[in-house]
Amino acid sequence: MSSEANGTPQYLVAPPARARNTLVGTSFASALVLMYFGALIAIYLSERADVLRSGGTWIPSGTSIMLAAPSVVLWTLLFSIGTIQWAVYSTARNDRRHLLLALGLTALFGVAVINQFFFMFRQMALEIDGGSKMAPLTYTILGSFLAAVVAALIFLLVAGIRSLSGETTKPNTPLIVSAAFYWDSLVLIYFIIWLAIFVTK
Amino acid sequence: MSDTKDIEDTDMKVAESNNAETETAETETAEVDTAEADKTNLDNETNLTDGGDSVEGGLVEGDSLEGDSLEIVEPTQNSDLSENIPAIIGSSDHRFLGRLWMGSAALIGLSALSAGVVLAFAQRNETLISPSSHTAFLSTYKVGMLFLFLVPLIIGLATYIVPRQIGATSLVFPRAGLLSFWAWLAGATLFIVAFGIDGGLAPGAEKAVELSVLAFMLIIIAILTATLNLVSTIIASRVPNMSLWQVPFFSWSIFTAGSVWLLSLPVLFANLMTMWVDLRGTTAISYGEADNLYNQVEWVFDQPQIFIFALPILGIFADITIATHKKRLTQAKLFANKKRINRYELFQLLIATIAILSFGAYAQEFFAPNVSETPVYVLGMIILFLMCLGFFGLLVQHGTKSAGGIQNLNAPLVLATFSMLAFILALGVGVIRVLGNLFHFLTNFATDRENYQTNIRDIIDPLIDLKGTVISNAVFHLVIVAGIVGVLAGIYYWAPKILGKQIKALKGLSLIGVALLALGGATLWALGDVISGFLGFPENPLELNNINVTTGMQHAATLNIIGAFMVGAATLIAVLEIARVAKKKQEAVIENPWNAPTLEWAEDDIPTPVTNAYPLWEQDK
Repeated sequence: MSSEANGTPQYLVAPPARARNTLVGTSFASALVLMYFGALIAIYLSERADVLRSGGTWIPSGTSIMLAAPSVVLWTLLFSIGTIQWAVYSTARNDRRHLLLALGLTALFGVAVINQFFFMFRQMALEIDGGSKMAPLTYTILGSFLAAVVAALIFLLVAGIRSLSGETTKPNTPLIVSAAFYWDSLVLIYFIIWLAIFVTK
Repeated sequence: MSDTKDIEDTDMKVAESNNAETETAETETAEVDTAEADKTNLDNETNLTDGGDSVEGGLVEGDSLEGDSLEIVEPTQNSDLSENIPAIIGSSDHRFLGRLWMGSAALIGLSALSAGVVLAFAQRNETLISPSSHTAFLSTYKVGMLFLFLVPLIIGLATYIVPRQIGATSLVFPRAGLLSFWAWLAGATLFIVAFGIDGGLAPGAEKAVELSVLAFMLIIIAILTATLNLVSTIIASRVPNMSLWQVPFFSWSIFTAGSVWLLSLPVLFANLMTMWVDLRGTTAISYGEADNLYNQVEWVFDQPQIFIFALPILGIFADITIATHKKRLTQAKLFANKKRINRYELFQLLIATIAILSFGAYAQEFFAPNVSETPVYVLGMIILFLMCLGFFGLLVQHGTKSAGGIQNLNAPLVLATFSMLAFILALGVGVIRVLGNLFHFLTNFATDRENYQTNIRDIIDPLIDLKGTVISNAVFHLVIVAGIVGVLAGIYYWAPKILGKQIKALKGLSLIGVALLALGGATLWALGDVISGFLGFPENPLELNNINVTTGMQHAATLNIIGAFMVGAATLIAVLEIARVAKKKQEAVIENPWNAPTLEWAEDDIPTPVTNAYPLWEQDK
């Protein structure tokens, strides 16, 4: 039987070395997520500029865009960069206990971000049917970011489970590095959201 | 140092265990294979047999590169199709997935084409359907032809060929490959169902429109996942020492086009998400308003973005040209430059530049109405046209200068040439659309500017007035046909791999006839739209109430109808022909009939390390 029967070619010299597939995939996925949020924020700023140029009001009456809560979210995410990098450091040293602790703390920060988002929604009191062009865009951006955080938490959970089952040894470091890369991209995205929506208003 | 050794040791162990898994699967498969099947191309093991009642072994392969394995479900010979359903649904074998993508796309694409025929009739008689239904047909036709036909066809061909071209055993994320196909199929089905219940990206039943937007989002997610998988495979799974500059042209074009898809389709997804959130409110405010839906996503079906979806035909054309003429792209002087350049890399650079210039996510006229008047848009289009012309011309010159020259011509090369011609024609129409703004732009540099602008106003104005007319459909039709004929060329060229048999020369001639029919049809269809465009027929049917349809427009629309029928007939014949060839009895297959230099044609052994772009020719030496 030909070796191609199962799509496995034979190599004359040596099989290809196992590549860092997860890291490559995550890099592309992060670029994709960055483009998605970049597009949303571009639409938001372009619409905002149009409304203001025509003499309209961008933030509807009764809505308050406070800076305190979004800034706390930013600080929470900035702290989480430290903990996720701690996880990367631990996995490089094959230190499973600290790895789990770091992943757990990062996840806790993630849950805190979700909690603070719901507080922010209540504080803003932005009605989606209020007739303002701002409302659907703001909810699209913030809602999408929440979904991205949930995806990151699932990624951390998978990494945590794999490390518990003993898979997160040195050769598998890319999994944790990938999770950290995606997490860091999210922090960057939130920083842009914070500037575009909450600082610029 | 020891760390590296650890990693290498583990890699070797993983590779060994994977080899062991593969060998086990191979042995199991061998038990159900006949001795006859062993002698012939074993690719056919994944084919449905003539009776269409069984799927032979080799369907399911473990996720070897990731170190986990999928549950192997062994389909048995001569058993009912129902018994093999788990194997069909659960197979992550890239070859099987590739065929699934292409087969499903062909079936769904035919129904999308029928919407195009209705559209052509509606253009002739504007009272045939209401403007809102016209918009629904237009949006469904464009989504259908692009995301349910051309893009899946290309993804299917790439899923099959790309891992082989770079010497990989499978896609890097086989399960994601499987998931992306079924998600795409579910999205496609939902989109068609939503259209059937008065949906589409147009004024219609509110819930059905919402479903259309959701289904479109699902389709985009699936296509993004499949693309990410392909691009990651090219980056991470190349055979040792094969640099990106040595990757075969088809894989390179998938890499560059895929990268631009990955950067531009999330923007489309953002548009759709904004629409959907607005639609979910009690009353849509702006983005979800029925009249705005199609306009917000129109940029994907328009220049320059539309060109990126057919970019892989450049790779197909280049691979076929090199294999046909059996002549390497060697180092050469460029423009009397003393430094010699590698022409293989030059062509790769050309493909990459064309891909970058085709990035069109910025050209959203809904949010930036004057974007088509900007120098980036206008000059980008002209450079795109010139680069593509240069790419085609240089490769044709390379072929004609080879031993045998034009006498080497074969059916796949003729098909690929047709697809390139349609693509260049599309770019040409694109250039016509920006000429008005180019002249206007250039007159700014004239010393007697105002006088100059007044004198050539008669030339500029009709060209500038093309904005928002149906001429954009001409570009769309030509690009789609270019893509389809290009994929047809690819299927013909890689038939020994994909279909397990070589398409006979006579069949090749019939396929060339089909391609001519498609090319002629697309040209007529495009010509009708160009004439209608100059006569001021609007692209958005909702604006039809504001114009008087003249006799000239109706005559132009007659060309559309004839062209649409020709393209439809050609596509139908091509699908039937390929299905007929695929169903024919197995014959002894020459493993590398074109004597091509790339790794997908390696019979058993892959030479490593790969030191240049022609590994099999090196091996022959």
